[in-house]
Amino acid sequence: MIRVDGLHKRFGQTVAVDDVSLQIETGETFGLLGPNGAGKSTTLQLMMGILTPDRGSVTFAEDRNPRELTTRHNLGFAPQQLSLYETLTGWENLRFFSRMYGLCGQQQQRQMNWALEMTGLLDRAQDPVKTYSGGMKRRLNLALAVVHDPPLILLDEPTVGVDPQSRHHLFENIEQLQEKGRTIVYTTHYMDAAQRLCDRIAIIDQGRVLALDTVDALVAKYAGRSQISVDLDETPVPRTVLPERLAVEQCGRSLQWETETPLAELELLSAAGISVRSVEITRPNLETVFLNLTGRKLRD
Amino acid sequence: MVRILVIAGKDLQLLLRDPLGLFFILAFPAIMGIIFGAITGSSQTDQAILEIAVIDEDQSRLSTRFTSALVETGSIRIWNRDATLENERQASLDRVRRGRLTAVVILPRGFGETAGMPWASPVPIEVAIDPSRTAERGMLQGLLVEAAGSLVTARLEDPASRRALFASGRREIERNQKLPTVTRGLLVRLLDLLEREIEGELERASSSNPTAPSKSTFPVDLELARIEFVPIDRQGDRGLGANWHDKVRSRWDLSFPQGMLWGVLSCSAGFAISLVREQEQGTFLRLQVAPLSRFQILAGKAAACFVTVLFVILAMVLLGYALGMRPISPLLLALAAFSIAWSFVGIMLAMSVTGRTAESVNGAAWGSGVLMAMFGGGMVPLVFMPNFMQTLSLFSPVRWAVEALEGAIWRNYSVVEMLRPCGVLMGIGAIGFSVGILVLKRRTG
Repeated sequence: MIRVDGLHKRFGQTVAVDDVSLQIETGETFGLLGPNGAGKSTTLQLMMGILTPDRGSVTFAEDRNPRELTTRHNLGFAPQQLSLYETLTGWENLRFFSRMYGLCGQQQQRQMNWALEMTGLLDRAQDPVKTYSGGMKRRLNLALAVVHDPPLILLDEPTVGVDPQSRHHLFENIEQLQEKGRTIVYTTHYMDAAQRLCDRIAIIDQGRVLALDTVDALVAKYAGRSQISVDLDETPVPRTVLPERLAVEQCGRSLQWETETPLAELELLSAAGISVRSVEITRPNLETVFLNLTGRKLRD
Repeated sequence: MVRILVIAGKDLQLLLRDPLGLFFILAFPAIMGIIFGAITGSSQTDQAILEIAVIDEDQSRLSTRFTSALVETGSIRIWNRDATLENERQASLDRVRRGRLTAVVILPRGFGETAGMPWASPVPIEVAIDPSRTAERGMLQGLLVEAAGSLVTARLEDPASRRALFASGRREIERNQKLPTVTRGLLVRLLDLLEREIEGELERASSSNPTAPSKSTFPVDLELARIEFVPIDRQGDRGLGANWHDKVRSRWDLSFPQGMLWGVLSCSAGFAISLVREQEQGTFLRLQVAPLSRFQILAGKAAACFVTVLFVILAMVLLGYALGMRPISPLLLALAAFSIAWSFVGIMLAMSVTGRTAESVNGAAWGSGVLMAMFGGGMVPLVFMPNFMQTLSLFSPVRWAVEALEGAIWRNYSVVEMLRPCGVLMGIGAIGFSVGILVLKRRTG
């Protein structure tokens, strides 16, 4: 659906996007995961043709250029910054932007109702946007991006700064769009959002794509093994009692080790008759992937 | 085209939801027009009056007559009419210094001895005027000369004064040895003849109307010049009928073009800010992603500004009409309005790209607007400006806009005469459009 080849963009001395190449398939939810300032939004704006790359190219299906009006008809975009007319009502905002995409008459009404219903704003549609809560504004921001029902939706940090309830609502909205088969490009610095929603993820930092794959593959490749931490009932346990194949470190009543098969190894412990008071398994995730790739945490 | 109109409609809707913006675009120009109208005060019913003090140190019949003549001009109010002479001079000068009075006129001792004698060397009248009232200086001078002229009549009315006047005339002629003897004889005979003729006329007048007061019996009207102000702005529409002609020409004809321009400047500044505000709040980015060309986005904004400018001018014309303004040519007024709208929409687009924040654009738009108004005659009429500023005014669109409006409202411009201000305005608009589009194109990649 979208092919990005060797995209490069510099603002003065700062390289915002450095040789980024991606391919996003139809119906896929593709995540751009990285900390603030990593170059995610710039990449998105280059993909939409709002910014002109210094080098590289972006091609949509049927070899279309992102600046072509036909391509833009098929795009929906929810910017990171709330892009709403605060003195207009939610309904007026939707009516205006849906007209910009050529919707009118019955079809426009139907689409507006659908977008408002999906985002749970139907009962507040006639209120001025300035009276909305932060979460409602985020939902309206999403509704404006999808009101014309585009096949490709680009969401730039769509859940930033919202309460958990609204965040959950937004995730559900995005999952509904996934069910409709829409292609979604999703930028975020929230690991859980990427892990929950994205089929494939590009981890991006300082303008460069560090890794690109499915969540499981990234974890398997870059995150290492699960960590098990066990608190025993009795102490100390003689080393001879512990199963041989476990590379365990013992410290008082506590046992710790790394493994790729945590459940199987806990069963071995049980079979050896060792009484366990509590178990903690830390599975590797995208946070670990990012930490291992950059030496920094995602929020740093 | 539909999308352009939808963008324009949205901008007008946003304007309607902004009470402060509406005030500056609609109420502010009306207030300015009314204030300017009140200041201009040039209607026939509300004449400007100078308030002065007169210190009559002479206290003679002619000095009293001079003071009365000043009041009778209808252009002077004497502040100290009933005051005593003691300390009056210093008190009056203090009032002038504090700006409470325009001037003090001092009639010194001996003023009445030679006043109204054309051949006598007059005792000078002293005038102390507020240095900031330069515009009134010439007016006061003219009124003093007019009052002094009335003293000639006053002297001829009174038989004793008249005889003294002619006797002194004869003495002056006979004393002047530079004149040839024949000429002196002729001049003395001429004075004799004139005196007899005047006395004869006075006798005839008093016998035909014995009850009339002596002042009005003097038959000779000594007018040095008669000045009649003709309405140059109305020469072309004499055929339109007396009704129309009688109604026209109020102070609002002069003041409303300036008021309209303030509305247009507010409008232009308001829309310039709205464009950068859209960039700040991100809605411009959303519009950029939509299937719209950059031209359509700007054209939508320009269309909203254009409609609002036209509406401001129309509202001001209607308000002016209600107050008494009568534009000579509605068609030329429409042409002026279109040219002004085009010009200031172009300026708006150029202004909108001068800064990257609403604050900077607001400052630039209002700052340049005030400068344009200052140099273009939107604050002070061009005639009061020094020559170099009048030359600079050629670069101000406000100057051309005021000229176009005045040309249609009361200067009675022909279509050809209107082409110059309207053409300049269209040119300025085209430059503004080009600058705005080019800078925005560069900025947004």
